[in-house]
Amino acid sequence: MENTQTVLVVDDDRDIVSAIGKLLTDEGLNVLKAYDGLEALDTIATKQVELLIIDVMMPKLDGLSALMKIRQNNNIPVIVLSAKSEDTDKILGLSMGADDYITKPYNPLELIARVKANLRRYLTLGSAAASPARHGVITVGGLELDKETKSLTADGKKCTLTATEYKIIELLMSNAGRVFSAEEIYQRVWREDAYAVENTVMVHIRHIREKIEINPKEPRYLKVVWGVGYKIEKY
Amino acid sequence: MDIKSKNTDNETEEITNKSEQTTKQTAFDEDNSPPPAGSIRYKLSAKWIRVVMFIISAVLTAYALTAIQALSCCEYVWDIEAAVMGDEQPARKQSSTSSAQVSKSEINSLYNDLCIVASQVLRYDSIGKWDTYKRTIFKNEINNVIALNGKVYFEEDGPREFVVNDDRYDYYVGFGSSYYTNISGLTSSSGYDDIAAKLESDDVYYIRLYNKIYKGGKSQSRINYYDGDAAAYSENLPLGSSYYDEETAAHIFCYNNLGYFDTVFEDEDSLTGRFTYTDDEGNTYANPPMYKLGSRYVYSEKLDKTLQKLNDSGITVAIGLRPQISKAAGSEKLTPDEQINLSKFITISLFPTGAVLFIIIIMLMVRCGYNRDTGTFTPSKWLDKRFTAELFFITACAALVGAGILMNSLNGEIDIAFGQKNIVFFLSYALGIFLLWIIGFGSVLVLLRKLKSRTLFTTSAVIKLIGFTVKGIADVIHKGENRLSVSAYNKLTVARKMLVRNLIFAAATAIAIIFLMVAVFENWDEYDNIMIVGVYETFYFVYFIWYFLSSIDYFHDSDKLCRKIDTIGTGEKYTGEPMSKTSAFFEPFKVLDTLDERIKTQAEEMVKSERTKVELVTNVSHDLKTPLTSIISYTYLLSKEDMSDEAKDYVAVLQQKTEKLKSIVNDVFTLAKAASGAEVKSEQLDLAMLVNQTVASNADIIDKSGISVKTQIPDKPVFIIGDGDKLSRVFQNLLDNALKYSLDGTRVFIDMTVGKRAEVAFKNTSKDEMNFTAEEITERFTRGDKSRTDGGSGLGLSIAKTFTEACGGDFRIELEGDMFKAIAEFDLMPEDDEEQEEKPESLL
Repeated sequence: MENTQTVLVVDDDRDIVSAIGKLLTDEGLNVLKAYDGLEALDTIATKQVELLIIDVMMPKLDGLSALMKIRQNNNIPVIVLSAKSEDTDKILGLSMGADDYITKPYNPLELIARVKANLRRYLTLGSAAASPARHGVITVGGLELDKETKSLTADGKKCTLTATEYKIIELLMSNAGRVFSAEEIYQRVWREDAYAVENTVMVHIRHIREKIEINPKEPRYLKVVWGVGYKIEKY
Repeated sequence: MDIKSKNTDNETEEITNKSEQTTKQTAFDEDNSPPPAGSIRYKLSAKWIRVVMFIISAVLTAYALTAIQALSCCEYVWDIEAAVMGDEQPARKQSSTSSAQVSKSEINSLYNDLCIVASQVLRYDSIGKWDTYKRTIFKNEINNVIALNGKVYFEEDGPREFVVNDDRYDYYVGFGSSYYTNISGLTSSSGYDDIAAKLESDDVYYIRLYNKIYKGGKSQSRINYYDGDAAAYSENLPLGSSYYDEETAAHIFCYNNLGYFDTVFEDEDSLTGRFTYTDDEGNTYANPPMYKLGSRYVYSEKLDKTLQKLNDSGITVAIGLRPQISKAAGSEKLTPDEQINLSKFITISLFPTGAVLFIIIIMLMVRCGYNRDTGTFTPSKWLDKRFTAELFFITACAALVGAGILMNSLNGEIDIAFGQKNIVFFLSYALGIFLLWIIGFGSVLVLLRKLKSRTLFTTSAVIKLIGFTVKGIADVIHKGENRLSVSAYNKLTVARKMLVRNLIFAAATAIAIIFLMVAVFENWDEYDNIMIVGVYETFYFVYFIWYFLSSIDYFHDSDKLCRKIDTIGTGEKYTGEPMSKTSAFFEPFKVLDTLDERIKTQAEEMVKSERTKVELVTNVSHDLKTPLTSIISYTYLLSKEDMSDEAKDYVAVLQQKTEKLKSIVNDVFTLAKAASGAEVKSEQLDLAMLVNQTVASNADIIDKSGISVKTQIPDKPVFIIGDGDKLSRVFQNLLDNALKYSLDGTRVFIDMTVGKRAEVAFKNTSKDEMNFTAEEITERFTRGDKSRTDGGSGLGLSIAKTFTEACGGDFRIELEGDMFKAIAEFDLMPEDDEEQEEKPESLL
């Protein structure tokens, strides 16, 4: 099945396109290449593409404009690959319809992981999402928590969680976007008085991250709100 | 000239338009353009034509005025109306003479005075020799009574030296045997017939014998008095009638001519009717009464008194207007026919003369000063520019006055000359008019010329004098201000001005209160003191009102100032009314204006420069990251290839170094952005939790490093305002730094103390000797060992310092032996906000 998946890589730097192409081809993906926004639009219009990796700063038509055009009649996953690393840039890119945002210089392994995760979600979970919402299932972005089976899926990949980890992620996902302090998490999960629990909670958080995040150092889902607490980013 | 030229205007305009370009340049309107040389209009604009016309105007004026004078001398004038109606009868004209100028009231008051003289002065003149003192008093009083018109008065010396100071009258005044007159041939016994025969007046005369009054002459209507028996008019006392009041022993007489309500009697209590007088030698004389302006009795009130009537039968008064010299000379030497012919000629000739004169005057006034070569009005060099406008104004006035004097003073002579057909007199009269006209009208024309050429005011001495005076006064005031330290007051700051104002007010108020209290409690009744208090209190009242009103101004102005400061603080635009220039707050207000402007421009510039800096950083970042991306990608690909172990080692090094390069690049841009102050959030956060989170999230690294971390952090939240992401980076860096450079087996201490500020200290024992200063270590790219061989960009502390400061904290390094201490301090959030923070907690 994976052999038939096609990824379109768009960047005005031919070396980068070629490098990414090689990385993905090695992973068994079919790669198409384009070097500006217009070319990317042409390719998408004429060929079957399952995933798009697009740079922002490009000649003729920049990545975000091209993204907006593509999004008018296409819902394939799009990863924006940009040298712009500011939060505002990321927020802008994501709000324009990107599914993921990777900054240059990227880690090749992370790139591969993200591409795979997005493909997985698009191809397998996309169909699941199409079916009516199941009872007891919480979905936040690529995270899917099934309360019945007490299981968590991250970008279509099943995660094995301990009981405490499950409780924490359930608490956070049920209140996606809300910030919980370490004490609060401790009180709610452990059901004990909290005293100097920062470390305990943080260790669990880190473990959860390692299981659900592609790059635990740059988490997409489970985030630290410094000086306030922890939260699951609401998508 | 102008009228004629207007007829040719159409022609000349065409010529003007066609011919010269200079015409167009100067032609603001048609009148100002110079007429082309050779045209009729140009010829007519010649100056000599105007000069000739000016002389003609003088000649015509001289003729006209002289002729009018001559006409006024004619007793028989040609009547235009009669001539038109076909009636050739000559009309007799009442010639105006000086006698006609004698007014009714003048005659009446003279008669008034003469009656008093007769009744009082001459009556007692016969009584005998007066003593000098009494006579002086008497004369003074009589003078007071009679000298109303200044024509009759007593001289200082002599018993009865009174003077009628008007030679237009014939007069006779007598009482009994005493009389005084300027008519020869009359005696004290002269009766009406004698006097009437001697009076020469055929115009008007007036005679009184006791109470019998006669008037006669052509103009007797000019006498107010009735003729006949004066006593018959019972309501009135005859003028000058005298009484003796036995009751009060007062001597009384009537000195008003129409006395019913205002007939006034004089009395003097001290007189007590002493009608005899004994001098030092024992001679006894009848003693005339002493008159003083004592009580005055209204006639009607005093009638019930027993008044002893004195004998007034001796009063005799006569006045006659003397005939005039002109009449004595007579104008009979010209026959009525001659006079009528002359007047006919003059009258007819005056019409065209007047018309021509009128036209010439108007024309000269319009065209004077016109220069036909330039088309403008220019002043003449030798007259207009040399003398001031006032001089010409004065000469014009002088000429007018001169003409008036000439016409009036020669009134009599002109009649005589007319009678004698004295041509020379009339010619010289005309010459005088001619000269006066030249001077007067010439001056008027010069003034007009100055006005037209806009030099009237620049050459005016008065204007210059006013300018000079104003400047002088301004100088004096300016100097005075300096001397009176008014300007020193103005230089004071607003606060000091207020102080001076209030001190003066306090002092003035204190004095006012003290004055009032002293005046009330000391019972000051001395006039002077009360005056001083009154004047001071009045001034104080005015001052108080002024002070009160100006205080309101001060209030308004300071309010404005405060609002202005508010707007500067909030960055809004000041929309209130502007400060008036006279206000004491004007200067500070102006300074605030400039300050406001400067702040705004600086803020704009800063924003602009920050934007460029951030843009630059972003661009450079992109340019660096793109090749780095390729390097990382291909190194990775390379590492996947089959190759020798040696080559694999090389690739590993490459990978390591690219990772380091990546972190350096990221750090550099993070730092650059932080230094430019862009994107620092201000949010409320718990510093204690932040440090805990940082330590906790690094638990694995800490475990790996083999160095234990001891934290001493308050249990309670420590709320500060800052940017959580940036501060986490600060503590991350400090922790990294501590772990990296700590001696193996030692501990890293993280202490948080909360006093006035929240202080986080990272303490560790350095494994290397610290051969650098605290300042050096926070410099960019400075590393403890200065070797830069191992991991890290060397920017860690730099970033920590920059981020701490960007969040409003302070960052410092303390070195003590091998002890390395990094301290970050933050302001605590105000207590009020802490309570707000507790609310969400209580909800949980």
